[in-house]
Amino acid sequence: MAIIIIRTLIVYFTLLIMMRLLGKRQLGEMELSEFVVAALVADLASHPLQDLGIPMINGIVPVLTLFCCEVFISWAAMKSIRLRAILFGKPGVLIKDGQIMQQEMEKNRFTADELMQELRNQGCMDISKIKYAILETDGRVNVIKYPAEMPLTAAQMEIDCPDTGYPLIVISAGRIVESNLKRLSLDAGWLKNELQAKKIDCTDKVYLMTVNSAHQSFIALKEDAE
Amino acid sequence: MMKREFAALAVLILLIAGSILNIKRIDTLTDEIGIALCKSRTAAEQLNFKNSRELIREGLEIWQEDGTYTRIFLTQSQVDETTMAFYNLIQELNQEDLLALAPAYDELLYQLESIQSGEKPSFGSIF
Repeated sequence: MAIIIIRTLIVYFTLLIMMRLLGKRQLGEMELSEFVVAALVADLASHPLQDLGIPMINGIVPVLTLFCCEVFISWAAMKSIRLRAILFGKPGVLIKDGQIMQQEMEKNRFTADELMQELRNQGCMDISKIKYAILETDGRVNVIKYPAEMPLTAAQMEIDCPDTGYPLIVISAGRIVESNLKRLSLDAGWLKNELQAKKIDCTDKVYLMTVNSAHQSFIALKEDAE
Repeated sequence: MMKREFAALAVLILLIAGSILNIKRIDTLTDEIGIALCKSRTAAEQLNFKNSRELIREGLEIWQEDGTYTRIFLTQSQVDETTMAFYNLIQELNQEDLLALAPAYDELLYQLESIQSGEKPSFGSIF
């Protein structure tokens, strides 16, 4: 029992480090090679956990080898367009100028039902209003509508929008995030004044506080503090 | 190349070097036991069972001394089957029955050869 727990912890932290080193892409959209690695790693790592007769090294070594391969493949694919096309394929245009590209659909084994489902997911009901629908190499479909069908932007309306920048969390569950305060060139004094201005006497009552580059804040109090 | 690629390259080189060292280590271990086994067999064929038993016990000691290594790199069944083959051979040697000894020697030899060949990359072992 103790061996299983120790093995599980070792495999868990090894996988955690491996996936962290592979990057965030693994967590969301996966390319083909990344999917292969993810599927294999999950299976390989579990065997020594289920069967104590299998040395743990038999699970760790293949995972490490796959990690190395994936790092090299990703690097090589980043450097070579041709290799990228061979390994991950090319994006396919499923709709062009409001017309379904049936040959491309067949080539990608994409059915009309699947296409309609993807379009509905993106809030597009009318194919004739779509300029392009592109099947990306990670399997997602991106839709680009005709310019006339695009939402109106502030720039088109010539409306001046102030750039407030990216809001950073400065208080999370009552705790001050000092690093974010520094990034905003603010200090504890400013934070105290800001809270006092909103009649909050201590940070413990704050569930979330964000501040943007224009130093505009948003505060959400804890439910028991309200 | 970036840091991550260098780290991956270093890990890969380390794994390859480790696997080469592992092959050498398993070769040395099985060869040492194999030599003791051959000497023991010759002694048994000359009806010198006392010497034969001592040589096999030496082989068993070598095998058991490397217990940590074998348990890390070999499967539990490989370790158990080989240890059992040792004890089976010692039992047959105690009975001093030449006819029963031959298969016991062959079994232990097969176990050692199987461990040795299992670690070496070949067309057969890969596929």
